[in-house]
Amino acid sequence: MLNRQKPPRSNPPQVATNYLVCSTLVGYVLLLAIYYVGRYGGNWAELDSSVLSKITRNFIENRQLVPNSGEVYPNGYSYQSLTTFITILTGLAVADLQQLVYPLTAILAVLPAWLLYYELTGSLKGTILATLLLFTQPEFLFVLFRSSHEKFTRSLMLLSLFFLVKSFEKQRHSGKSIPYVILFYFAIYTLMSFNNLMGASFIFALFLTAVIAVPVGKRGLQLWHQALLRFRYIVLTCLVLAYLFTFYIYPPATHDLVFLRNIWDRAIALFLSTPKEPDIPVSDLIGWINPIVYLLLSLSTWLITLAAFGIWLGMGWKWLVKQEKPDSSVLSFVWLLYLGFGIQGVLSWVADKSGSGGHLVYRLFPSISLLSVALVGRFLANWKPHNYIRVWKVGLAFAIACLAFVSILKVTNEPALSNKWTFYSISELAALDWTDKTIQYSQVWTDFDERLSVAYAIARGESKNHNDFYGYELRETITRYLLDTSLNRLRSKRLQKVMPFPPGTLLIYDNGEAQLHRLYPKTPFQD
Amino acid sequence: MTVQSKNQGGQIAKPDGKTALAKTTILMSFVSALMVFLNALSGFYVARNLIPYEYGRLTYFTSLFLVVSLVFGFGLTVSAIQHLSRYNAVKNYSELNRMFYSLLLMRLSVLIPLLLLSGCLSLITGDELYFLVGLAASLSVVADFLCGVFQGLQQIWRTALLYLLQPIAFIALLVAGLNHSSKSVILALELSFGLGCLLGILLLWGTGIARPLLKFFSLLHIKDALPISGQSYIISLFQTLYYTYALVWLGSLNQYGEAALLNIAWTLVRILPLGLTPLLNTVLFPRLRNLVISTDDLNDRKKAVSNLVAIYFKGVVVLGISVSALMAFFPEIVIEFFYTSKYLATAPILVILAPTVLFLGLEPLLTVTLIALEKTMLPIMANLLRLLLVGVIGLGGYMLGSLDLNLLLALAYLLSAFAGTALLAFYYFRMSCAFHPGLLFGFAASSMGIAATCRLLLPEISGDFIVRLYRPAVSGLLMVGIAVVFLRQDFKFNFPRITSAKKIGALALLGLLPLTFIAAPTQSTALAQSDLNCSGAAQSPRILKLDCLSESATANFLITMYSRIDLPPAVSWEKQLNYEDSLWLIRVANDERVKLALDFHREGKMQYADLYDDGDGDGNVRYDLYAGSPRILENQGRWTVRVTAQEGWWKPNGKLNFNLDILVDGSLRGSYGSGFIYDYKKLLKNDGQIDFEIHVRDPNNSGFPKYEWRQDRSPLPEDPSISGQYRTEINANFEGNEAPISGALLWPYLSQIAGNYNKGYNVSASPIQVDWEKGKIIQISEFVASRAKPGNFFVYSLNRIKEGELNSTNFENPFAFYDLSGVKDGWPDTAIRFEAALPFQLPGDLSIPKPINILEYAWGKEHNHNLTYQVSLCGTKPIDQIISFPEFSIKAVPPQKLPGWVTGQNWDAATFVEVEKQPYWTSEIIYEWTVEQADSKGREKVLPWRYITGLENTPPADAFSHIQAGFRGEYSLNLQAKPYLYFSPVDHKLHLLKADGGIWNLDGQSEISYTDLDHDGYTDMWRYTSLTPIDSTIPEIRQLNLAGDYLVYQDGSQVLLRKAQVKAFSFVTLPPTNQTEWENLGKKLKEQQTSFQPTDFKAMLNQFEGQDILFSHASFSDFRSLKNGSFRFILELREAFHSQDKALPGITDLKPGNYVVEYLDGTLRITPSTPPVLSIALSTQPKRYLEQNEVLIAINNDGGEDITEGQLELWVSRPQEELRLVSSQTISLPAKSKISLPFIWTPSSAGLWLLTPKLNYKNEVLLGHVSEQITVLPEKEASSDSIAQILWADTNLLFVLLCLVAIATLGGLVFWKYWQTSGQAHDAE
Repeated sequence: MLNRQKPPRSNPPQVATNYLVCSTLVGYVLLLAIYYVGRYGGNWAELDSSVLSKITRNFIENRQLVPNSGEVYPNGYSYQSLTTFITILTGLAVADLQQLVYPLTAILAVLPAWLLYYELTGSLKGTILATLLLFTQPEFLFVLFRSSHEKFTRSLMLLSLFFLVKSFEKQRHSGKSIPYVILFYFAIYTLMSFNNLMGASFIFALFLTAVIAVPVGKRGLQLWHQALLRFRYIVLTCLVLAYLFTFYIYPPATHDLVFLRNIWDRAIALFLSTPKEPDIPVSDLIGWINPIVYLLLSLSTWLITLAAFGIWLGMGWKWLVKQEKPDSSVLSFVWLLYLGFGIQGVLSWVADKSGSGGHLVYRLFPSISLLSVALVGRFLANWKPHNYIRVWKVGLAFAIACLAFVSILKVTNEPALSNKWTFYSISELAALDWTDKTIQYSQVWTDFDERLSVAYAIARGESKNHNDFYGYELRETITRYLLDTSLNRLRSKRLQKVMPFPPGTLLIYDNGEAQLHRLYPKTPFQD
Repeated sequence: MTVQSKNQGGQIAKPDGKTALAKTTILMSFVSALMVFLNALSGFYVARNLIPYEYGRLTYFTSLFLVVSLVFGFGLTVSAIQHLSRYNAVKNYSELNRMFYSLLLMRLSVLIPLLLLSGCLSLITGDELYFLVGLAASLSVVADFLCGVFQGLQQIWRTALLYLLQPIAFIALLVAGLNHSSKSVILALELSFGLGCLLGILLLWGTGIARPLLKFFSLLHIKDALPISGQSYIISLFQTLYYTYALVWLGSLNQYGEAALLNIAWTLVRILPLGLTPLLNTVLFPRLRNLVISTDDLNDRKKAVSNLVAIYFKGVVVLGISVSALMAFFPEIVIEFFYTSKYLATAPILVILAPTVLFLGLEPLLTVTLIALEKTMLPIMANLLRLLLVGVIGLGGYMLGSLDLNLLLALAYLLSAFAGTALLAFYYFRMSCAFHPGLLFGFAASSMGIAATCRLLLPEISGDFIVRLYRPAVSGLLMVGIAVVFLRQDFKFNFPRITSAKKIGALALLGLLPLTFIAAPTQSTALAQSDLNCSGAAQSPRILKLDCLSESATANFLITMYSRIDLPPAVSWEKQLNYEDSLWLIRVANDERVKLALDFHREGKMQYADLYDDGDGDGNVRYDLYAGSPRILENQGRWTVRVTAQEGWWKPNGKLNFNLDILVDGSLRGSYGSGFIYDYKKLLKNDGQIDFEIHVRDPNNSGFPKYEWRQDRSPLPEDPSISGQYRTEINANFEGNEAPISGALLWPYLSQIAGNYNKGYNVSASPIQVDWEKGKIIQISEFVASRAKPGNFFVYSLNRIKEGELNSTNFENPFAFYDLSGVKDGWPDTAIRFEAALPFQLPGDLSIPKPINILEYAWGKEHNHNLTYQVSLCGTKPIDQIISFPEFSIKAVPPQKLPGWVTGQNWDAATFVEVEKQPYWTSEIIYEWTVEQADSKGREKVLPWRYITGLENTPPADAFSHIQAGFRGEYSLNLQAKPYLYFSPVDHKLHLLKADGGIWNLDGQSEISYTDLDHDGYTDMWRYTSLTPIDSTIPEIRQLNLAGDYLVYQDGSQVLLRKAQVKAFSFVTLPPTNQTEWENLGKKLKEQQTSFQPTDFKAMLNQFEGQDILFSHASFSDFRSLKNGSFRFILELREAFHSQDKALPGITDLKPGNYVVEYLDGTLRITPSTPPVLSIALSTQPKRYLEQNEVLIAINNDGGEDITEGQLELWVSRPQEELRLVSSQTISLPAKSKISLPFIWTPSSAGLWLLTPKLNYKNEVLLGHVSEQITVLPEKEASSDSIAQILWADTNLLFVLLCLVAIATLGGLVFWKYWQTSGQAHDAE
């Protein structure tokens, strides 16, 4: 019905340009990914990636969708299945795959983003700019580079939105829209199978969009009327899919729900939360050497978010208050989607404030970014400054360059700027290897946070001798072993935290960079 | 208020103008919503405060109230609204007054028969509630009438006030305390309506209603007024009957429990419809009426009406489906939220009723619409249809007896709600010429049909199964329905017009109403323990009736046995008893209700007994007679207990068969742990899921059970780290000498009385025990005694045992009882409790890779059923012994080996306690002063779980600083030996060898402490402390020390040194493990018995002869035992002191003051004492920033007196800054000695620091002037020199820079190239 600015079916020179630009963007993301891996020589680790590494190893060992023993991923099965398939096919070790190969697969997100923004912005320029802006969003890049399900689930979100919009566009030709509808359901199911909570959260945002489409749509938005009617039961079908997956197809998915006492908690868990992401850089003010650095590194996020919100408000003012006609149905739909995700964000904020969730707003940030960049990209593509065009062009290009620069610094937790270090040294890993080989059933303090415990988990997996490598505060009553490394000393200096070693410990291992200390027994019952 | 009054909210607001309409609408919307809220609130409050039975009773009477108030309301309120409104509009006050008083008189006159009727019912049934209900109904219709009057007079605020007063007053009265019984609630209702009437009369003032004059009354006016309200009246009447029919029916059958459950679910599903009604009446209705009476084109009006209704229709559908799904998916949570968990049994009913929300929500919408369209007959038809359906289905199903009545009624309501609403909708759709929501009813019909069919085809399945099957089915279909609704397809129906509705309605009323007046509560009789004395006779070839009277004549059991085979004729009733194929119904006297049903049947060699008890709280096991034989209906025909025996209840040798397998499905105590670890009454249900498996075995067919094991299958997490119930319990008596069963009610396993779960000594009550008043099986008590039998043992394991396997059991594993005296009177005199924690099974961060064993070993000095001594031990050695049963085995020390095993082991720590204040009886062990004592922080088991596991550095001595009065206890925190005891010749008491200390709390006011000063394992200091009643701040102290060749005594007035040879012990022993050892120990203790008081230290001293040195007016302190029998103390000689001449060298030259008395190398010396002389040194090695540094403080005491319990502190400061305390330690520094103590200090910066030690002793600072300056170095560098070096070490700086530049450049370039600076906004690529 709408979207009159549909691109022509064939235009060979233009297609060539598209391929070229798209390839450029792929190259850009590849460069980011290479830097992400190369910055620490592959010796990086973070919590979610390490958890999924452990789970995948257990999956490989048991060769069961729901392993009988060991840790089972409660939110989905696809990530570990896929990883298992790749490791068996290629012979790569899980650690190599997780630390060296998977970050590079972030480029897989470029094509869905390209396709989606092509539909949402209605122009090639808009597509290019939106895609480029998306990959300057550190929150989005972080979840894309690390080795968790999110590198797939985010791409699937982009893809499912693309299928949805295409199916709406083709609403007058049911024969043409059906394949997109089917593909949409496939994408949603796949999303659920990677992580049901993230899938449910995404569906809930769509649900909110469907709900608000009725009153808001009548106020002046130019929407596909029939398609939006269909949208309601598409969302309902998705809810059924989510329900079936959670309660029937993958029974462990109910794990997080059955222990939640009331409906409120369950609803929060199912629809507002996404999987735990404790290390999203944007959430941690004290994780940076000072607040100004934090603000600078978050500049991209804030600029795009604020700009998108302003653009969204402007659109709303024009359409709903001044009763102007929207340019296209797609644009109206983007506006609605932004509102739907925004409401979810507000609900998450309320839930955060009420203590029901944990940093739900931050977890939703990457999802909101998907739409923010579409609004900003489209705006920039259409914006025509009347004066100083050259200056604007140079200035904005420079600004984008700066945003790209600071984004990658933030994504990599650049140790010169970040207090949250995500790298480790080979010597530290060697010390942990020796420890696990030598002692058993022991608590070993490793660092001021989980840095080394997740490093061991991602590189080696579970302790073979039932040792517990842990970080943060020293568990004084039960810890007999402490690891001292050069990096820990540096962190002590950076964080101004005291090394938790009591005087007079017994040094039992030293490789020059890392030492293992053992506490002397103080009672006849300590060995 | 009643339904018809609410229906008029729209009518009073007939539009004079938009503003008036809007105001009225808003106000009445608010009032109606508030009323609904208040009514719901009061309902929840009452339900929460009453027990279910009483709530069911209230449900019955309030339903009666509703019916009665409506029947006698005659729709007069509607008439008043319409006619008064008419006269008021034309300002005809004369006619207005005439109409008012005519109607009022009519109103009051019809209340007289109502009051008479209710009074008569009260007299007949003896239940005053009938009258109270009649009175409340009378008041309510008057109040309602007055509301109608104010509405007719357009007195909106008065109407609102009057409407709200009643619910507010009702809630206030409830909260004030009128909520303890159904009577008090009805009284509150009555009072609130009374207040409403009063207020209504007062509010008439100033409304234009003149003084009441008889001439105003006019029959003609009444005749004019009544027909107007007739149709609304009939609709309301049918609705109310429909809503209350089942509740009144259940109540009239005295099934108050069922009434309560049904009402809870029924109320919940009606919350949404009730909440919608005000909105529809006050907002939709006026708008519809405006459209209907407007003069626009008919087609336009029709379209406008359709559109308006469509909007509401869709809204109600979405809301209804959402609430339906909520209730279908989370019934327990909804019920618990509104009504607390005591009504959780209503969950299956709520699940079935959940879809009703949708239909009941649509019903008022359609009714209002049709009334607005002046099609009043259609709602009457629909309501009549629903009433008939619920009546026919309910009654029919009940007669067939195939279903649980509550579930049946729920289903009836569901189907009738659907049918009635569907009828309304069909008519409406037909009228509005094809309307898309009609399709909803197509889907709804099929979904409800499927769901109902599922339920009807599977009548015997459990409630849980229904929930599982029904919930996804219905909710799934509802989801499909939502999609269908939005398809917007037209739908047309041709539905035949129903005629003669009034006749059908009248017939239905005549048929249903009488059922409501046949009930009266019955009384129950409590039972007392008695033996049976039965008489009986066969009533027919297959029926035997028995009347069993206990000897004490306090209880009668009326037993009706329905045999499935013909009874042998011409024999006594005893021989006619059929335990193989019969069904027994057991009642108690004066109560017609069946309290227990027993179904004996056999399959091959397996003999079964199924026991049915009451499941719904009405004290009755429901059944019906089918082909002359009873059929149990209670709990949908599910048994609560099934007992299975091979080859019958008696063995061929005539002995009772104790090879039983018992299954329990219901709320009863089936294990020891279920009695207190969780609330079995709430948790367990008769739901088709087994809650306990009990296996009893008598392998030799001796007629006595030898062991039993119980598997607790309650719906709790199976993981022991999450839930702490005993998953398996084992009781065993390998000697097979349990007491014979007694107190049986004919069948040997069924008890006449409800006793304790644990067996008593020398008795064996029949284990299946019933609360005969409630008709409820309350427990299956022990077959084999756990505690009350020497030779028995039990295991309560958190880990579940698996049959056919060797199991690692934990917790009490085992707990065994012995008769070491050999008296054999059935009472134990020794008990051993073994508490095992397996590796990694301690809670939380205490998890360690070793087992932790805790042991209590208690025995009596004599066999007098009291315990005297107990040794408590802990250690970490794994168990390598096995107890085998034919079906399984467990890792535990067999009880017969246990005493020897305990005394043959070295243990890590121990306590010893003697019960000094007898008698002391427990069924287990001595609970005082075990190794499990909590410390001062309240942490239980701190010694075995935290200290001997190595998790804590500090010995938990504070856990043993206090003991209960009458107990004497000692402890050793590092025993590392067998639990030896020794007998002291000084105090003639048994003591723990190697004890660190001990205490005897004599009476709560005085105590004796025990100390081993020379650490040779034996107590050598006794110290008595007593707070005198006159001045409790000055304790009376006595002390006796045994050191070297001397006994040193003081009592506050004198110090006496006696040179005597005293042995540290008379004999050493281990706890007795057999009869010989027990007897020998008892004999020795008896021989050594003395007569002096335990506090008489002088008498203890005087047992030994020797040379004395006596100082009067003297005391001593700081007694220290030195090596080789030497000792030392400070002697204080007061002014009037006196001493024996020449007892010590130079003794005559002594003057008052402090002296050091030393016994060294066999020589006693006395020298003047000097105060402590201290010198101090600090370690001055450089310390480091950001590290924990050790500061060693060395102190010398060169003086003559000791320092005991001084506070040594370390203070630090930067130059020119104030001192800051780092930490402090309590120290003891004997004279002529030195100590070196480490302090941990973490400097807050690098640079120069001053360290200052201080020693506080007896409120003086003995040190504090000595300071040392030290240098704190910067933080220790890592092996690499700088942070940059580390950070860039593993990666190439060039790579980093190139990448960063490339990323930035590429990003900027892409933007540069593609940013549109001119031309079209939408380029045409």
